[in-house]
Amino acid sequence: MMSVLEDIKNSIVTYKPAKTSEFCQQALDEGIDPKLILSEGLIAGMTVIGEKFKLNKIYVPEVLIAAKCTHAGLHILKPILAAAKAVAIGKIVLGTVKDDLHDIGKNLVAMMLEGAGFEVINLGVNVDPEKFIEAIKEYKPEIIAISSLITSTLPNVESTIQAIIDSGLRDQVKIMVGGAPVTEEWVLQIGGDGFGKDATAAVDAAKKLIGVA
Amino acid sequence: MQKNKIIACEVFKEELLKGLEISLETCIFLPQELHRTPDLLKVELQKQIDLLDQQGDLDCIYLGYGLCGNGVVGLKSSQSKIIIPKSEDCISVLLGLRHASKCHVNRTTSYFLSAGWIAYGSDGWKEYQRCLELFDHETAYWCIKEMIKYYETFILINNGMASYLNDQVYVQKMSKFFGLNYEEVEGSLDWLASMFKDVNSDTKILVEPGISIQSNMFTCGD
Repeated sequence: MMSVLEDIKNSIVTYKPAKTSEFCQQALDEGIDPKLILSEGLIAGMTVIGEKFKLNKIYVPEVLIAAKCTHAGLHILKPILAAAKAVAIGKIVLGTVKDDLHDIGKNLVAMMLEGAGFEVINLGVNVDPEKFIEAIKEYKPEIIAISSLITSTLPNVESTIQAIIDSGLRDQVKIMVGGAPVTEEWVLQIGGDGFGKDATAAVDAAKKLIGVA
Repeated sequence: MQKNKIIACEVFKEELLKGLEISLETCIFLPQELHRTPDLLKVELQKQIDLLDQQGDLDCIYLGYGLCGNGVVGLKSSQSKIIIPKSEDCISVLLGLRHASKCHVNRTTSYFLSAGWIAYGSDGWKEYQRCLELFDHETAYWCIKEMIKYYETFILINNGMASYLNDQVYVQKMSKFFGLNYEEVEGSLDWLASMFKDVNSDTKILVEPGISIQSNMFTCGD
């Protein structure tokens, strides 16, 4: 791998946002394809972070700073990527389920999805079923992604899916669910289509759902 | 005489040992931080159950857990029955049965602490201290504020444990440092105690040997 891409990845793993920004600019100056900088530098770094988090080797603060690094890098890359008029591979509306205010994991997934080429509409936290339904009507996404981090809000995921069914819009979207207490078996049982155990797996699942995996 | 063992999260340690006067030899306590990784919690719990099964002479294994992010789903004992509180998590159990059917505290915007959480768990202040070893004050403070940005109140659950006065000072200090409200709520040991009473009740789940715990056995939400 080109060393500057390795530098970008390492700056994320060692939590140095200013360095991430600097190395992304350097990579662009060296003429490296911004899509490659994104995938082999930024996303590669966040994948390492995601793995460490899953194994409980690091905790939320480290993930937050790593995400800050990635945002800093994206800030440099985005104008270039936008100028290249890259067409989004799909559109996803995501949000944290009603009564749940946890958004760090959900935002991480949003960032990874954007990095993978999705257009992401982030509805935030404590999202009512009605708001998901309005978003399906307004944005016409291929996928709705629902996050729940605490056991007590899991039933609200189920009621959100039911509300989408009741609204007659279920056939228009695929539904993904994620969060620490969520399992694939449960997602399928409550009528969802996809699941990702972590941010990287969520991107894979989303690609699979729209047939670009 | 019945032979029983308790496998519990250390968040309940004070309540079980001091509050309910259960002997330490009867209990196996597991690290509180396992709640962060339900998959690892499940592996560790099953390992402990299997070890007890190998002894082969227990009537009942009590689990001092709730559904805990589905971390108890799939657990089973081949030899003993399992009894576990019918609760989504430890906070409900610590608050007691008064809050069981309808929680009288806003759970969405409240950051709960208890004697066990303070003694064995992580919290905003401890995380801040840990972060200071990695980052400067500004970054460390930002991280914790980001983690708790949607919470409005630190709530100390008072179950009359010996550490209460120290816990009060600790949580008040933390509330001030991070700019959140401070409140206390009277908890109860009744839910925890009901697990050991020899009567059927809706506050606990009894699983026969060979049967695994399922998520639909629990009552979730208010």
